[in-house]
Amino acid sequence: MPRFHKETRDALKFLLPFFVFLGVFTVYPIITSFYYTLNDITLSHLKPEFIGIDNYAKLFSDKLFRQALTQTLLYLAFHTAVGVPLGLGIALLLNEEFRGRSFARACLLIPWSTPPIVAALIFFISLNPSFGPITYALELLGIFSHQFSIFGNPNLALFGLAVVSLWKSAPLFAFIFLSALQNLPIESVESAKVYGASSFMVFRKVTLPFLKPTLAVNCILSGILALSGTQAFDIVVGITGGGPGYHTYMLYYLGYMTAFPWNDLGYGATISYIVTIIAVVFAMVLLKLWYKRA
Amino acid sequence: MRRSRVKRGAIYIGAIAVVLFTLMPYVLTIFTSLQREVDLTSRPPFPFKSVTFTLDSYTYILSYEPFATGFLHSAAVAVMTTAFVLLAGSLGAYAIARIRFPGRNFLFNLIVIVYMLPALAMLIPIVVSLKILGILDTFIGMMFAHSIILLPLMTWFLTGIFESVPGDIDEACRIDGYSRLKSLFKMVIPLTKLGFLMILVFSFINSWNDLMFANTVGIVKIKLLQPRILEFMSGARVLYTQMAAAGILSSLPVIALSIALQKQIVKGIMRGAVK
Repeated sequence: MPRFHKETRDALKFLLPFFVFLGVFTVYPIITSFYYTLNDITLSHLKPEFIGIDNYAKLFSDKLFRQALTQTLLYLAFHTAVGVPLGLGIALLLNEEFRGRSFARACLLIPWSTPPIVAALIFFISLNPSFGPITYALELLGIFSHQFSIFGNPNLALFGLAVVSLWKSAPLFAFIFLSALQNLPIESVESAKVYGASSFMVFRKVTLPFLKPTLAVNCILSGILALSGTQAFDIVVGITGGGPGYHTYMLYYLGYMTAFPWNDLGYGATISYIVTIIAVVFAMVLLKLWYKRA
Repeated sequence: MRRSRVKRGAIYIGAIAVVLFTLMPYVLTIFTSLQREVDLTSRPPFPFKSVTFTLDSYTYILSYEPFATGFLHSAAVAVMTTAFVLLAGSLGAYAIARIRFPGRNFLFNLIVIVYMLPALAMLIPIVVSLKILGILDTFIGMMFAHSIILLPLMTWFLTGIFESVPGDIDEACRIDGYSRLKSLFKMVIPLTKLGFLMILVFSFINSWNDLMFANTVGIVKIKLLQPRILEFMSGARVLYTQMAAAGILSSLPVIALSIALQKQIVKGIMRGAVK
C-alpha cells in the first residue's frame, strides 16, 4: 500500500467535497450520457436498448439536424464576430476619462445581471409587431415595414435572437476587456505617442497585441454562450420556441426538444455530444491561435 | 485643441449610445409594466402617446400565488447554492493554489474542460441520479443541480484569487500554529474579500437566473421563479402588462445586488479568467 506524501493527503482532504461532487454530478452523468448515445432509450421507458452507432448514423440523414447545424454556426459566428468587437469598443470607450463614466459602467451591469428569460421577455414585448415601442420607432425611421414582426420572419428571426443575445453578452465582454485594460503598460503607449504614432497605430501595435489573450478568453466565452449557454436556450425558448417553422432551431435546443418533449433520450444525447465537440474544437483553435502566455 | 474637442464629442456620443443600448429596453419594459392593458395594446405605443400609469399589474403579480412561491423558492435555492459553492469551492481552490501535490496543473485544466461541457449532456442522467439519491424535486437536489456548472467555474476563479495572496502570509500563519483550514478561513479569505464577494454575487445571480435545470429538476414541489416567467410568455394566463411587471420583479433582486456591489464587480470581474 503506497503511502501518500503528507502534502498530498492534505490536498485530498480539501478536495474531497469537490471530487465527490464532480464524480456524482459530472463524471457519472457524462459517461452515462455517452452510453445513452449508443442506445434506444426514452423517458417513459428507461430501459436502454443497445443499437450501436445508429444514433450517429441518423445525424447524416436528418434534415432538421443539418438545418440546426447551419443555424448554430451562423449564430455562433454572428455572436462572436459582432459581440466581441462590440464589447471591445465599449471597453475602449469606457476606459477613457469623462464625466459620467461610472454611471455608464454601472449601466452595463443591467443586461449582464438580468435573467436571460427576462431579457427574452423584454424584447418579446418591445419588438411586438403591433404595440412594441422599438418596432414602432423603427417603423417611424423607415427601417421596419408596417407592423413588422422580426421574430415571425423566417429570414430574420435568427438575427433577431442574436441581437437579443448581444444585449446580454456584449456588456460582459466589455467588462472583461476593461479589467484587462487596467494592466495595459502605460509606458509603451506613452513612448509610442512620443514617436508620433497615431491613436490608431497605438491601438494596432500596442493595445491589440496586449489584449490578445483576453480576446481569446472572450471568444471562447462567446462560443460557450452561443453554443450551449443561456443564449442558446433561454432566449430561444422564450421568444420563438424554435419557430417560425424550424428557422431558429439550434443544436442545443434541438437536443433538448429531442430528449424531452419528443422523448428520444438517446438521440438527444447524441446531438448534445455534437455540440460538445464543436465547442471543444472552437476553443482549441482559438487557444492555439491567440492564447500564448509569455 | 480642435482635435481633442472632436474626440471629446465622439466619446460623449459613444457613451450615450452605450447607455441607450443597455438601459433603454429595460426602461421601456418598466413603462410597459406601469400601463393599463388597453393603452398598451393600442397604437401608437407609449413614448409616442400619453397614457395613464398604474401599479395594478404589480398588485396583481405580487398577490399571484405561483409568483410569490417562485420568488421564495428561488431565493432559498440561490442562497443554498451560493453557500455550497463557496464552501466546497474555497476548499478545493485553496488546495490547488497552496498545496503542492502531483496532478495539480492537470486538475486545474480539467476544471476548465468540465466547465465547457454542455449542461444538456448531463441533464438526463442527473435527473436519474437525483431520483436514485431520493433528492429529485427537493431544495438539496436543486442546489446540487445548480452547482454543476457553478462549482467548477467558481473553483477556477477562486484559485486565481487565492494565488494573488503572497505565499509567505500563509506560511507565517502555519508557523504560528494555524492549521491549513484555519489559515484559509482566518487569513486567505479575509484578505481576498473583494474577489470573494464577487464570487458570491456571481453564484447567487447564476442560480437565480437559471431556467433549464429549474424546468427539469423541479417538478411538483420546487417551483422556481424563471420557469414561471416562461409560463407567462407561452400561456395566456396573464396580460402583457402583468408579464412585464413579473419580469421586472424577478430581475430586481439580481440587478439590485449587482448595482449595490458594482465596485467589487467592476474591479474584480473575471479576475481568474484574465490573469
